[in-house]
Amino acid sequence: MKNLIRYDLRRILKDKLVIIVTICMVALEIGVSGIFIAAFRYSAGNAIMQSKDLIFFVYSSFNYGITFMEIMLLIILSKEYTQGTIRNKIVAGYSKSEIYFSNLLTTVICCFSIFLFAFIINFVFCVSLNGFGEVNNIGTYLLKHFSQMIYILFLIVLVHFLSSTFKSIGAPLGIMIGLCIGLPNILLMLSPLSQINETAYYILMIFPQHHNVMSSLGPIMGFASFIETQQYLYYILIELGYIALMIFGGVTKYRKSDFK
Amino acid sequence: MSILLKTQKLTKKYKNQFAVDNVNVKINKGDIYGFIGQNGAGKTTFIRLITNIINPTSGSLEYHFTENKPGNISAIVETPSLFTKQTAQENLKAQFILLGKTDFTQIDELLQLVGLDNLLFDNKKKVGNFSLGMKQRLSIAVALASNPEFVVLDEPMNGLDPEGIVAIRELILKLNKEKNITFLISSHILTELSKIATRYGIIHRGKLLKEFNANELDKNQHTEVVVSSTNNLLSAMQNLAVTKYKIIDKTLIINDIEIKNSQIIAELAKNGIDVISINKIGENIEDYFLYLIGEKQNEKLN
Repeated sequence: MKNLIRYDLRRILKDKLVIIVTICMVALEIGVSGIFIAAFRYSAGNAIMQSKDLIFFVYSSFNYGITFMEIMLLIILSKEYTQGTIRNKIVAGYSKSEIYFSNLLTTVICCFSIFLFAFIINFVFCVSLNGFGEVNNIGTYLLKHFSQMIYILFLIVLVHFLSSTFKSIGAPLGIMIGLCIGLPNILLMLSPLSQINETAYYILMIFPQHHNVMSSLGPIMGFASFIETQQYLYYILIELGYIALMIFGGVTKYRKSDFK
Repeated sequence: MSILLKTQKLTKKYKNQFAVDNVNVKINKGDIYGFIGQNGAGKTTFIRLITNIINPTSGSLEYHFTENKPGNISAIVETPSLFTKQTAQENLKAQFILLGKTDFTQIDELLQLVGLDNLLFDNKKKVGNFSLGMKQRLSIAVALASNPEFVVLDEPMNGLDPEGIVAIRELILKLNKEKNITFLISSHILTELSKIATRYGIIHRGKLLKEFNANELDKNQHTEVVVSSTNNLLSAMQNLAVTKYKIIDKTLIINDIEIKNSQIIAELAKNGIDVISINKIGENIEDYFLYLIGEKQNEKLN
């Protein structure tokens, strides 16, 4: 398993797409932060959104950067199936479960590394220009970030699940773009449904997106108070449930699947 | 000779079609097993089954390796499985990492072994820019990285120039003799396969038609004689002590390879029968393969 992880890490890091995406992620985060800081300064004279909120908003706002990163990841992961290099692993004697978990683990490591790299640079950029701001409740603030990280993990597992299930690029790409970009907009329109049956609305697959929309739009729209500490925990638990379900379903299907 | 691979009623079914149907194959250690079949006969599916790339619908397979280690089996299935954006050395290094090897000095040796010596001095060329023949050679090098006991090659001669075909053939023979590597090779170039194979398996429409040793081919030869008349033919056969023969119109088919053509001609002449033509049929694997497939198709028609 250790060799398999080394092999997978090498395979992903050797791909030039990783460098391109890292640069794009950093540029996107700094670019958005820069525009916001400039806009606030010139319009109101001083920043109305503090860096502590801006940093969060930039990386979580509809997760465009994360979605972009995941498209890259999907392309890299799918190459294994389209180029047939997956056969080398199977023939070398690794079980399909080992292959699945190694792929998943390396994917999570790579994505979080890119994400954290971009996050730290943006953090330094925002704080140096705009200060950090005051945090009233550090516990809730950290929980907000943590819940968003779990959401990112949810997206990574989702991409991996789609790529290992379809073993191609077309269908997973369409589904993922639909889920990450199209669904939040549909959700906003469907949000009155939560009045009819709140539990069903939350537990449905649309749930993580609801979390994302609320978390990312909260600071800018002024409804951050909508999400209480208890709700964050609720979101985290349900997202972890989805993650466990996708991993279990994914590996069960993968073990039974045939390769080209 | 001890058995390396034994399959029992190995079956792969896609929807209502059997790609591999109850196949029982036995491959001995040290064999160069020629796996023959038409396009779509089930060769690649069978190879995928024995390399665990696909799961069987039913049946089983068992390997008996001398030592239990990762990479005991190596395979090239259809197209070479290589990282096209990486160099040959990088591809081999990746395979070494996969196998848990830390000593990369063997990489150059492997490249030399498969005739890619030129890449030792040009280590920036990406695999995507290789010719099909070069990719095929590199795949073989990747397959040999684990010092396997059993190598499965699906159409290894594809895309190779005549010089390359000879080189790969000699490499297979060398590895088989010196390292006692067992090979399973599927190929359409039957004449080329017949130069190295020690044992054959013929697959047709998913079923294994026949499995035999290369030297058994001689026993399957027959003599086809076109004669001027069939009168006295029976007594001529009695005089020659031939029991296995068939007469179809004016063609006499003798299934006894011990009898020489000169003996047949002399005996027929003695009986007043002129020989218009005489040929040994089924002398090579190509003819035998076509004969077997033809027989199977006739069976189906009848």
